[in-house]
Amino acid sequence: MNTTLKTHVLACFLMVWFCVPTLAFAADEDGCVVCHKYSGLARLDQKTGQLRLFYVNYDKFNNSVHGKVLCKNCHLNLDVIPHNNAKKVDCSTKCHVKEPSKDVEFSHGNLYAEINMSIHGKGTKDNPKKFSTDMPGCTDCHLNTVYKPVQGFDQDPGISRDTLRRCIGCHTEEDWATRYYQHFSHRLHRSKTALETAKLCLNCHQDEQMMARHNLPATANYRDTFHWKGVLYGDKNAPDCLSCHAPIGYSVHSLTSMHDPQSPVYRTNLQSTCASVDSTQQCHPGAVESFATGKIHQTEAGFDEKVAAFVKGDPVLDGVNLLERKRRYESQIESEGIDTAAIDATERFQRKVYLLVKYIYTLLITVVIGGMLIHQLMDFYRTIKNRKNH
Amino acid sequence: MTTLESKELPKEIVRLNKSERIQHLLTFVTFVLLVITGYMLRMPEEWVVKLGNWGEPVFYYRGIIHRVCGVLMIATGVYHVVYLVASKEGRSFGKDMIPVWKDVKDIIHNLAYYLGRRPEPPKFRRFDYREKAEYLALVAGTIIISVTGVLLWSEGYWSKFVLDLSIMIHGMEAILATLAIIVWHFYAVHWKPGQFPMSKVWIDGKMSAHHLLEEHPLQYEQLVAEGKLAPVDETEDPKHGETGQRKGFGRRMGELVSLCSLLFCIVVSVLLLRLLYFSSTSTSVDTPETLKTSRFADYVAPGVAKKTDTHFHNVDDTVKLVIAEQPICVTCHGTLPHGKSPDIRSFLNMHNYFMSCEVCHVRRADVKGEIAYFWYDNMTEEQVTEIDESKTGNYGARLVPVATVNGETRRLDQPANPEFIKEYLKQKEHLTPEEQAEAKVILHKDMSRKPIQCVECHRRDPYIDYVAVGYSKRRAESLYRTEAADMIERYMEFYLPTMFDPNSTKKQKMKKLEVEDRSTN
Repeated sequence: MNTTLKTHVLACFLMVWFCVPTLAFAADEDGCVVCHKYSGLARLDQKTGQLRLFYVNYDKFNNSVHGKVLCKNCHLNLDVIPHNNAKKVDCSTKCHVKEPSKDVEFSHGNLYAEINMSIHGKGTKDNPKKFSTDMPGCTDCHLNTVYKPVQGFDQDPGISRDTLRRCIGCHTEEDWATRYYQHFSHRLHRSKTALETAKLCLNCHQDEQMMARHNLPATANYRDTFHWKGVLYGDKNAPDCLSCHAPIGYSVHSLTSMHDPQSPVYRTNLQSTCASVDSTQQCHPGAVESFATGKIHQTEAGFDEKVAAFVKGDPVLDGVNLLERKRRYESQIESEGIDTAAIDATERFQRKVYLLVKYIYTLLITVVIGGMLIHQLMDFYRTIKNRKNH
Repeated sequence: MTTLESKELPKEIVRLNKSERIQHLLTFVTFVLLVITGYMLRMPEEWVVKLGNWGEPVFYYRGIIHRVCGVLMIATGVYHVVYLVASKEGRSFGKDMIPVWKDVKDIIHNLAYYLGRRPEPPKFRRFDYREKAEYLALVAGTIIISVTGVLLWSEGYWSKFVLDLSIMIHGMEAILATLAIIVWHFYAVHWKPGQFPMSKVWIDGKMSAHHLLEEHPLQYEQLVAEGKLAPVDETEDPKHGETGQRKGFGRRMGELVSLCSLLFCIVVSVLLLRLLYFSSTSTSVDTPETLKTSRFADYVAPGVAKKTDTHFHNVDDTVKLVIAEQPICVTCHGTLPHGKSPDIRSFLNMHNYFMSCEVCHVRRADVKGEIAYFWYDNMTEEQVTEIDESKTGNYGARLVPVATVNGETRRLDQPANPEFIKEYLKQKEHLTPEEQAEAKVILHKDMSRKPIQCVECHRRDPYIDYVAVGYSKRRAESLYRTEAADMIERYMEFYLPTMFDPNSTKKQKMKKLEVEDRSTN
């Protein structure tokens, strides 16, 4: 070890020793927190204007699922300051944490491969998908989740000392045992609520422009469903996107197109997906076959949308574009050789009936209530006038 | 007719008997509860989100109450049918409710009366066309809404098309019913002059002979002719609705409540109409707001729309620099103004969180008078003597240079010419580029040409006396001995020997630092 390096190590040591409460920053071996604890350590990307935030709340990090992973294990090439060589974080990197069951280096590589095979995959370098930047990366959905230990009816949130006692019998190092206890108990429950999940998916899927790029209908109308209302109120039994698109038995990382026979929302699989017999949630067990027919996420520029566009001052043509887009979407389905003609004929008819009833009702309400209002106003006027004359 | 006889005759009739009042009460209570629990599914999303943890139980009981009330309403309907068939009064009620040709003539007559073409309103029987229409609408509405409700309840047996249709009709019928109740029924029994603040028929069931004569003259004439009702004595009875006595407290309260209900119902009606005509836009309030309302995001960093709300590393509120009275620099330059020097820009921005721009950008030598540094609270702008060092830069206060000239002190972060700045900000958009440039020169005239450099503070003999401004001795030492100084030293000695080297061209340096796509997202 040369002198410079020694000074360097000493400086690092002093840095940690002097400036930081030893306990909290125990795992910050490289002293990253010395700078990254400042919430103002940020800048605007000079090319995109995007905010680049380099602040890390170390208490939260330390208590998170990645709390034991060194910064440099995910953020490669940090060895110079400023970190002008830092590589984009790749979650498939082996991060030098050994998986205790197998004693091999841990990585998210398998999930990475899985999602790349799915409809959300970005494609390969040689054969990238169209608009691959629209596709979600790991951090678009995942945060470095902070541990939320199990909480039950008879238990305060936190670590059950009683349960932990059983681990420590064999795994005598309490720190280690606590960490793994938290890891397991954390994985036992969902890190995102149904509302958070739905909003996450909607971030992209209700963006009409983005969906149009991929010839998909925007699913904003999920918000009009009873499913969404339940989710919004926090009903634990209410289905979010994953309850149907990745129910028990399917992986959220390998979502496929609804036209793929493997998909849980493929038309022949829908009945069992709606019944959801494998899940702890009992959704629609015993529902008849026709219950699970038709499109859940419809798009159609209705009367209300056109009027809304008109009132808002948007060109009314937008509504027509929506129809145009739908036609494009349908023609694409046809060009892919998917036989939708049979179901589409009935569905189109049903949709027409539905819209007709809706328009008739809207008209009925307008005429009836409008008429009533005029009648009552005249009555009011005449009654007042009469009473004055008396 | 002798006095004795007329005393024996009743002066009022039973308009609604006990059974009918119970039916009305049941319909009223279930209707109101059904409306509330039903529209809870259509109310603005931000209201629902505010319920927080209460949302789940509220949603659960909402469903239960809606179903229980639905069943009760159907049961009331059945009870009513039985009443219509089985009891004598019911049969008479049913018979009198049947629309007849006279009703059509009455409508035309009454409209002509409203328009001033006829001097008197038509003479109505026991039920006028308004009441008959309302009754029939209630019957039809109850059937439609009950059937669709039961279909939705037994969803597993029906196709999605049937359910889609049912849910739409159920909602539409609810809008129609609620609006009709407000416009038609509430007006007739609450707000109509003469009934205001409320007709009491639904409580005691009685209607005075006078009132009957006014509203249902044919029934009145018939009852009087049959000797079942005392005729109205115009000389004795005060005019209906004008009791001649002073209004009591109770009545005044009743009027107030009735007026409030009118306002409330107007608001409800507007909301319902919005729901009817603009349902898809009115309910989705929680869309990616900025994206929908402005195209700003399309131009700035396209493709980031999908980003989750939070940073991967769970940032907290401290990243938002909150200063109650924003300094003028921040107004134009924002909280992250440094972007030019790729090597140090984030470090420079970090300093913004605990010091004003003038600490570095105004050199003491360039300002007249004595300069001292003080901490000022971000919210109150009061001087703070102590900072909590454990809060790593988030002291809630910032360091500001203060100049003392001839005994007068001035905070350097407060502009000497605030009026000029105000005027400039107001007119900025109308100024020509040349004028703007001129203004900017004046605005920045107090700024030093070369700001304070990193090493000027982070060294043994720093530009600012840390202990004097309130840092602990240990912290002051750490600022030049360990963390910051050490790093700056590393910059210069180990990694970037050209960093502060004036001989190296800026171009070279930038080239070295600007490595393509250093983003980590």
